[in-house]
Parts: sequence; structure tokens; C-alpha cells
Amino acid sequence: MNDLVLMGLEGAVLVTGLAVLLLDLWITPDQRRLLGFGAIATLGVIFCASFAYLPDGTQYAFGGMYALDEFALYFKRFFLIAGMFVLLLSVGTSHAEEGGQGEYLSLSLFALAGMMFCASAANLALLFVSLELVTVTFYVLVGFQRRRLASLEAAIKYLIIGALSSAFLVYGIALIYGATGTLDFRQLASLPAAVMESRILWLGALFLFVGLGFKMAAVPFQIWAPDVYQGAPPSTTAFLAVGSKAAGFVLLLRVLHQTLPVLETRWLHLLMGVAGLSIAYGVLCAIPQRSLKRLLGYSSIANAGYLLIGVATLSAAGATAALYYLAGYLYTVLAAFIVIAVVLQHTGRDDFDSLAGLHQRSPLLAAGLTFAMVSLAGIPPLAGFFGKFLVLKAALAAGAEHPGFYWLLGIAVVGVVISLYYYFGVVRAVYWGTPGEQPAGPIRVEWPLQVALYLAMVAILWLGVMPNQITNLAELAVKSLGLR
Amino acid sequence: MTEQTQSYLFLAVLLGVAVAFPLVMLGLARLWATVYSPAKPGPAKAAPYECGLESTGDAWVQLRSGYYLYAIVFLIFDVEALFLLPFAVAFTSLPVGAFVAILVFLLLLVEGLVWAWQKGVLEWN
Amino acid sequence: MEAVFFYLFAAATLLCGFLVIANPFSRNPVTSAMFLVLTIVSLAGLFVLLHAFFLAAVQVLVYAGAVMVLFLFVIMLLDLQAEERRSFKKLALAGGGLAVVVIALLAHAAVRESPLGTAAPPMVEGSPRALGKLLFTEYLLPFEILSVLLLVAMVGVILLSRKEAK
Repeated sequence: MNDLVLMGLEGAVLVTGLAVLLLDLWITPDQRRLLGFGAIATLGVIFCASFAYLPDGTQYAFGGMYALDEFALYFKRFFLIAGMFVLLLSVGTSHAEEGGQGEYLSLSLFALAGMMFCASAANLALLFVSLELVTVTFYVLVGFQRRRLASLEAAIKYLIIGALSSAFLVYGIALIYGATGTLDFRQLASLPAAVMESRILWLGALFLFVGLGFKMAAVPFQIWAPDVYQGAPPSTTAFLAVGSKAAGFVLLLRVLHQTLPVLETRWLHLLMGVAGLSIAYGVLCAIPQRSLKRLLGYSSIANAGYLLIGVATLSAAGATAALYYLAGYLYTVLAAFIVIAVVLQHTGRDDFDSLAGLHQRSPLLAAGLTFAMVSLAGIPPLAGFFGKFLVLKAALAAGAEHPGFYWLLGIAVVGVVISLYYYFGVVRAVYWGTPGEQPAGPIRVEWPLQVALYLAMVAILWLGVMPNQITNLAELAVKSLGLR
Repeated sequence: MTEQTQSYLFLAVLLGVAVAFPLVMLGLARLWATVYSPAKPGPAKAAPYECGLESTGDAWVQLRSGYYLYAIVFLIFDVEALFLLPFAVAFTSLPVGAFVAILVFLLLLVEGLVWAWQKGVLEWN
Repeated sequence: MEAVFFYLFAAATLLCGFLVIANPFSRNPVTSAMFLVLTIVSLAGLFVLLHAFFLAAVQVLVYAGAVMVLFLFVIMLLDLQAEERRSFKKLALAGGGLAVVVIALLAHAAVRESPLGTAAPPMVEGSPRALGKLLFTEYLLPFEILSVLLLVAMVGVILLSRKEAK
């Protein structure tokens, strides 16, 4: 029974998803919105309930398979917030014409539950199954607008590359099991040193990293990101950008620090290399982009690089920075995609030209997009600035031990400078762009989206001005991971 | 010889017979054909037999995509049935939690079935 | 004896697997699908050698049976001529070859440094009874998540492939 209480948050999300799936069958289309709001409210209640969990130390359930600590709770709250915004976005933009909204809501809830299970996975079997739940659900969510060719194309690409990465993941798990004879994180952590030196184990861990790298959209596993971001419905893209990416990071951090600490030194250069390449690739490829969603796809790759710098430092400061960075990135990306969703609905396009004159058509949307871009670019006092600041600070501190970090720091700073160009290209298009022949009537934003956009903007500002509350939470989370 | 290798031996014999039997039959048929009915192909003989009608078009026809849905729903319930077998075999030595778990498992799939039914997927038109 | 069977099945798996993707005699997708059946059956043979009898039976039932039916359906839903005319892209071939070489080198380096079979092999009995006990006690949670996964798969597939009702 105690086991069920410990995984109560995920259980509640799953039950909500199942209920939405069933209820949707017997309600009229008008009531669909209410169903959506009901689901969001339930997620809100679950979010509040997450504060009732006060784990002293790490608590395990299901025979050590499921771990609940501050680290897991931090990410569960993160995923819940992301889930609430995504549901709000999908209710606001309403994919009703595309096969039914009820299914979209329940599938999003199942993906959310999968992410939350990822946050608590303490066994490679659970890791694989929960990651698959996320991935398989996203195959459907990406291709949800199956009347649109771009959406289907994105789904096919995501499916094929996702299946490939899953194959690597499961092969890696098999190798780890073959080398050690256990799937349990705690047993893996307490293996004798001789077994830890097994190259088979390292190869398995490397394949595991391939699977996680796909989720994080880090170079060289990034190839799907721009196309899928562009083709998928905006709410799916937003969920993919924050939820799926964070699921990769939560597992990476847990595997790295709690499960196979031997990898900490072994993977240092791997992580640094992947971080540097991700930043360079994302930033350079983003420059010529004219589609906002594609731009954010490349920006997501670059951001995976910044996050990986935090992870690569292997320090508590670095991990804390990564956790804070993710929180800031969450609101920033959500704000951007709320605006994109509305613009897409009105113009059917998401290139820079369709943004022209946006500040006249809807000052709120213009302000929201500007907030997001300025935050992504890392301008104080918004959340994006403080996240980058913390990551670079941690890298600077780590540079004393490994001079390679100075190089990484250089790439990161150059990346920030280059990214100013394209992020401000968006802002310029919004305020100074010359509108083409398209109708320039005002855009009415539905109230759920208005609420979501205001909340996201406030959160971006609040995180940037008062970072302490989140960094404290993040520090607590990192401490429970055993990092000092 | 242990019991295990003996069971393998049985399999090997079965495999050998299974391969040999059709080979012998085919070989006999071949022998019969070469002796009694040498091949004399002609356009009329090579044409596919269509009840006396001229055959038209390709033998490949596109199936209706409706079949596909049934196949995939069948697949999912096939996988479900797989999990029932180890449960049934190990039933007596399982705790009560496992029983609840399989009940939840079945209920989830029933929910899927109800959903598909309500969506009209099971109707053939 | 077991080693002989292992090499037999392994070779058959590899050969048939290769013929699935690059058959020099036939570009017909149905031929590929049939070779996939052979690949799966040889894999089932490997499972038997590992004492995973249940898994071997499942492999044949589900993959060689149900999944194969699905594959053939899809093949018949598609335009076959286009596939037979399709040519390999040189760049893709080179990329795939490079990936294979890199992974093979990695695996070789790993096995050379720490030979297989040195660590005690985990002993798992593959009978349905043992599997059921393990699945419903130790791996109860992944099993439950799996049921949600199956539900998602069902809903998703129907959503994506269903003709619009109205």
C-alpha cells in the first residue's frame, strides 16, 4: 500500500488520463473544453499535492525500482507545470477538427505520466518502459494533425529515429545487464571496482547515452529535431521541447551520479564534446532559418548543449545550474509556442514574414514573443540570463581542474553572441517587419491562452529577478542526488 | 546422454523428417514429369487460367485499409494474451497484488476496446 | 553440441537478416518479409539455446505470426513497383557502412579489454512459471506501465490510421 502512496502523483495523472479518454466518448463537443479545464485543474491539484511529499532521504517503492527523493520531486513538479501549460495550449488552440481533442488530452497526460516515472526510475527496466511510454505517445502526438502532410512527415521521421535510438537504449541495457547481472540502480552503484572496469559495461552505458541523447536532442543525435519541431502541432512541439528533453536530462543525471559513478570521470570528455558540438551546431544552423518553429528546433539543440555544460562540470553547482536552466527554459519555450500557435492559427504560417506587424495586431503576443526571445538570448533580468550565468559560472569553477572547460566557455560565449543575431531577428520582424499582402486585422487571443501567456511572462521575469527560490529547490534536489 | 539432449535429438529427427519428406515428394514428382510429360511451353499453356475468361490487370490488388485496423487491434490483444499465460502458470505462487495488477491490466485493455467500439472502429462499412 | 547450434542459428539469423535488407536476387518486399520470418525463427532458436523457451514461443507467435501479417498488409497497401525501382543512395550506404564499422570497432575493443563470460552470468530460468513470478512480483511496476503503453499504442494507431467517420 505504501508503494502506491509513493507513486501517487503518477497514479493520479494516469487515472486522469484514463478518465478523460472515457469521458470524452459520452460528452458533446461543447463540453470538451470543460473536460480540458477539468484535466488542467486536476493537474493543479496533483501539483499542490506534490508538496505534501516530504521525503527524508530517498524512499524506495516496488522493491527498489522506484525512487522518490527531492530530485525526483523537482522534476515531477517541472513536468506537471509543463503538462498544465501544454493542456491549456491545446484547449486554447483546439485540435478538435483533427480527430478529437479528448484523445489529445489523454495522450498528453499519458506522456506526462511517463516523464514523471522517468524522474523516479531506479531500475533500468523501469527506465526503459517509462521512456518508451513517453516516446510512443509522442509518435502519435507529433502526427496528430494527420491531414497536414508536414505533421505526418514529422511523425515518420520521429518514429524511425526514435525506434533506432530505442534499439540502442535497449541494447545498452542488455550489455549492462550482461556485464553486471543486475538492472537495479542501487546494486549497480555498489558493484565491486573490478566489475566497474568492465569495458562491456562502458559500451552498454555508451549506448544508453545514445538513447538519452536522442531525447535531449544533443549533437550527434539531433538530426530529427528541426523537422519534427516544424511539422508537429505547436502544443506537441512545446511538450517535446521541454518535457521530453528534461526526461533525458533527469535520467542522465541519475545514471551519471547515482548509478554508475565510474562514468563521472570516464564521460567527462564525452559530455564536454557533446556540449560544445551541440552549441556550435545549434547556433550556426539557426542563423539562416526563416521559420520560427525550425529556429526554435535549432535553438533547442544549442540549449541542450548549455544544459550539458552544467552536467559535464560534475559538480553540485553545475547540476543546480542545469536544473534552474531547465525551469527558465520551460517558461520561455512555452511562451514562444503559445504565440506561435496563435499566429499559426491566424496566418497558417510561422515564418518571419507572418510575424510582421504583430505588435499592431496583438500587442500581447508581440510582448510575449519578445519576452521569450530576450530570455532565450540571455539578456538580464530574464530567466534565460540567470540560467546561462549559473551554467557559465559552474564551468568557470570547473575550469580550474580541467582546462578544457575554458574552451567550452569560449564556445558558449561565442554561441550566446551569435544567438543574439537571430533571436533579435525575430524581435525585429515583430516590431519593424514590413507586412506583406496579408490581412492585418487585430488578432483576438482566447482567454485560456491569454492566461497562459501572462503566467509564462510573469514566471520568466520572476525567475530572473528572484532566482533564489528556484535555485534553493534545485540545490535541495541536487543534494538528494548525492552531489556536493 | 542427459534427458535434455534427448529432447533435442527428437527435435533434430523431426526437423530431418520435415525437410526430407517434401524433398522426396518433389523429387518424385520431378522424376515423373521428366519421364512422362516433358515440358512443351506455349503462349496458351503459359496463360493464367481464369475460368475461360481473358485475364486482365495485375495480380496485385490494393487491400482496403480497413483490414489493417483489424490486424493491428488483433496484434495488441495478441500481446495482451501473452502476458496472461505466465500469469496463469504462476498463479498459485503469486501474492494478491499480482492479481490486482493483472486486473488493472485487463481493465486498461477493455477501456481501449470500449473506446475503439464507441469510435465506431469495429463497424464494417 | 550447444555451441554448434549457436553458430548455426547465429549464422542463419545474420544471413537472413542481410537478405531482408539487401537481397541480390529479388527486390520484391514480400521476399524480404519472408526472410524476416526466417530471421525471427532463427532468433527464436537462439532463445531456446538460452533456455528462454517462453520467449522463443512468443517470438514465433507474435513476431513471425501477428507482426508479419501486419507487414504483409502494409506491403499490399503500398505501391510495390516504386519500391522495386528505388535505388540505393550512395551517401546513405556509405553512412550506414561507417556506422557499422564504428560500432563493430567499439564492440571489438570492449570485448578485447574485458572478455565475455568472465563475470558470473545472471541465471534466469526462462520457463513461463519463473517468468510469471518475476514479472508479477519484482517487475510489477514496469508491467503496469506496459499496459498503459499498450493502451496508448492502440488508441494512437487507431487515431492515425482510421478513416474520418464523418
